[in-house]
Amino acid sequence: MKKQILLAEDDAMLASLLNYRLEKGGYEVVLKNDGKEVKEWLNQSLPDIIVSDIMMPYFSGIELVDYIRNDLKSTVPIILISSASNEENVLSAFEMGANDFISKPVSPSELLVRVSREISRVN
Amino acid sequence: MNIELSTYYNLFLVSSPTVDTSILWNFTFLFIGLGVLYFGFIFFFKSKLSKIALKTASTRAELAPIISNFLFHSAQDSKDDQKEYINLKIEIREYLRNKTFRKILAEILFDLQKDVAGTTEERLFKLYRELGLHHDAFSKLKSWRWQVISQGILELTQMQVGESYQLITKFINDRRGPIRKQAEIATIKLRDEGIEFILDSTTYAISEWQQLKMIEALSGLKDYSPPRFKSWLISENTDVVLFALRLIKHYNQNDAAASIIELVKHKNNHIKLAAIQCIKDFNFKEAKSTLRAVFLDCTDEVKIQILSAVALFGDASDIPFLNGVSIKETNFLVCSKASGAINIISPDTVLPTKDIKNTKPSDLELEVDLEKVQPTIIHSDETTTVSLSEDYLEIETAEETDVYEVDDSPKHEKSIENIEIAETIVQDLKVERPNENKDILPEKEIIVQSQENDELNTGKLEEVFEFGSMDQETDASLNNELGLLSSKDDDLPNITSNSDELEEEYAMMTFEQKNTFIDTIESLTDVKQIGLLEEIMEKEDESELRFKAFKKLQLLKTNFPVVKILENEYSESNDTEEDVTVLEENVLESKGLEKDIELPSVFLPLYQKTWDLDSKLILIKEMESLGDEKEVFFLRTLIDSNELRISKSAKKAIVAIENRISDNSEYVDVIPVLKNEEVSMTSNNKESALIEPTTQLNDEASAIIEEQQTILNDDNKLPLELCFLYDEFGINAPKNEEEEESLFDFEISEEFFLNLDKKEENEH
Repeated sequence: MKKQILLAEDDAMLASLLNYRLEKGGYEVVLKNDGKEVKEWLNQSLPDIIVSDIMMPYFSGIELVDYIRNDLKSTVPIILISSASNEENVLSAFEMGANDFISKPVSPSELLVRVSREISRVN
Repeated sequence: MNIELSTYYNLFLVSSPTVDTSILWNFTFLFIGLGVLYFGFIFFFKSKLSKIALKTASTRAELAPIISNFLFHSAQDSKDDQKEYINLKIEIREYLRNKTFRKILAEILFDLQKDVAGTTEERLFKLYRELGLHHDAFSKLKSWRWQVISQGILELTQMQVGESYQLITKFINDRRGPIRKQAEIATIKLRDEGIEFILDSTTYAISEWQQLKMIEALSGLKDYSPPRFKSWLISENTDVVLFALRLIKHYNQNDAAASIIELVKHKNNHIKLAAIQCIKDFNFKEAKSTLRAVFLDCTDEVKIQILSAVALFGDASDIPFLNGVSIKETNFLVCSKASGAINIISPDTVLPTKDIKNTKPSDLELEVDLEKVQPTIIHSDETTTVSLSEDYLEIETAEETDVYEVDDSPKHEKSIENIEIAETIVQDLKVERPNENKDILPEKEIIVQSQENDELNTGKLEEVFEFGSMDQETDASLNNELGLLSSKDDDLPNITSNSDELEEEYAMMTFEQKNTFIDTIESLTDVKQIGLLEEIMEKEDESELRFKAFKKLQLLKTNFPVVKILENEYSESNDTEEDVTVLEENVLESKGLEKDIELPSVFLPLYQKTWDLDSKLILIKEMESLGDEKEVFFLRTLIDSNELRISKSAKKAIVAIENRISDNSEYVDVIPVLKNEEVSMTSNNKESALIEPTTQLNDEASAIIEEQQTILNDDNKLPLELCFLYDEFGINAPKNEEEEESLFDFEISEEFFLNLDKKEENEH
């Protein structure tokens, strides 16, 4: 059974690229373009791992971590994608309970390795 | 008809002008049509743009999996994937014929290039070239528009199209700045030798921002091995030299010492500063002499950098140079930097001076200093007396430190007791002086008064020694040695030795008795009374009595010149104060005067203040003209003068005055009766007055007559010499009676009344 990944990224081209790479890596990817969609989907089900951009419309990656950890009380692994200038946000995201982060420009291969590592850690 | 069509009736100067209604309607329709047309165009183009955006988005969405497939395709993929890959290749070739599609595809790749890294990025570059999109960029380079050229250069640089290097380098010396700058960055990014090409070939200025951008581009190169940039220090382009210096510093190429040191002599200040910065960074100590040599010709900014460099690797041999700079330089920052450099080389050489208070010993230190004074205390039954020797009072006044140090003598080792040296006052120490030992001070009161806090902070301690019955020699010597102020008035003789009895008597009196007692001191009947008055001024508790004593003393000093004579005689002799009374009597007898005579001459203070012989002779002449018995008394003292001319003039004046007095005795009757009564009353009030009223009347009468006769010349003017004397001593000359009458003539003349009568007659 494929592990499910929730990919939250507002840049359609990057999202498509990562989606393609993760699917090719053997994962089932649920692609969402903004925070609102992510929140609605999370109310219905929880993925095995969440890969989210920090800067998203409606609902930022940090708010997402806070929502998952405090409201949903979930320990699902969360990997945040951030630009270098958002380092402060990354630190605050780690304080909220994010498991890992990867900065842009993203190497899809590297992301795949990190995802697999986090999933194996949970298992 | 016109009236019916018009909107309004035409009223002259009241209504608005008539407008044809049909024209208004025409304009209305015209503007409505224009508005509809405008909004129609807007909606048309907006919908067209929206359609294009939607089409672009859909195309991007279609292309995204294709590009992803191309990017992540590998030979190890399954057969289905390989098949799909081939189909997509065919599909995209169809798309590539469309220019718009190529443009969209290029945009997608540029966007992805920013977000992806690693092998994916390399695949992206490869895909860009395989799809032939770089040809579009090449074609952009041929455009005449600078923004298109820049866009083409940027695309080729982003996609790392190495083949474009030669094409881009042509724009290095383009006259258009944006193209030139874009080409410079592209040249650096496309090949490692790009920077060398730029430094060799550029003829335009390179801005600092551009230099930083190029350094950043160089830093982004992988496995980059920079060339030795010292080669470009000899460039004719100053910006290239400056950039080379910065690159040398950036890549720590410290093998260019000679060239860099030579560049300190460059005319361009920016190059100088960059060279000095390199010298500092690479610690080129051999540059010191060059830095010192060029120092004077440099600007203040460069001077500061030079001083900073000298401070960094200078040594003691540079301190004279730095001292010279700190003295001669007018710019505060340069001076300050020089001083700072001295302190870096030799710490604490230059200390702060501005706004630094001249520190003096603190209160505590002063107390310690005072403790060094160890006066010997002899315990008596009633009071504790302290013997102080002069040795103890050797107070050195150090001008530089302003610290008063009191030396301790080893031969006086008695302990000190009950001396309070408080913050403000150390006073009332009675000092006992053995009479047989002149080295020890006589009885006196020592008042060590510390001043206000401010003065205390500066360590200034004013010590006032009041000398009581101290002999002149001791007094003078002590004053000379200590430089201390004596509270004794120098105008008066030191006559207080035998005033103890008077003081005791005075102390026993009541307030009323004291008041009467001070009033009775009207003359110098007893010289001791002067000392008593001083004692009253200082020790009396009642302020009224103190003030009365003060006024009395002032009155006696001004009204009794005998005091001066006594003082002079007394000061010249070395006799002790016990002989004062005898001396006083002798002086008065030698002058042929009775002891209690009261004859002050107005010429006496003038004469005493005159220092040259001519003025003295003029004064004697004036006395001869104006004087009376008072002047005779004074003139007799001048007969014994060493100066023959004064002696002769005095004798002559005495004879003249005596003759005049005898001749003018008849004018006594001229004096008003009231005056006579006043004089007699005054004389009755004064118990000690010995002068007969008639004698005084004669004097005053003669003075009035003489003033009228002699002061004024024939032309009613004062003698010139006397004018000078009056002017010198601030004396107002007597006014002419006629002038006074004219000034204060308020009487109405007869002529006025006559005129008044005439006026009345005319009116009637």
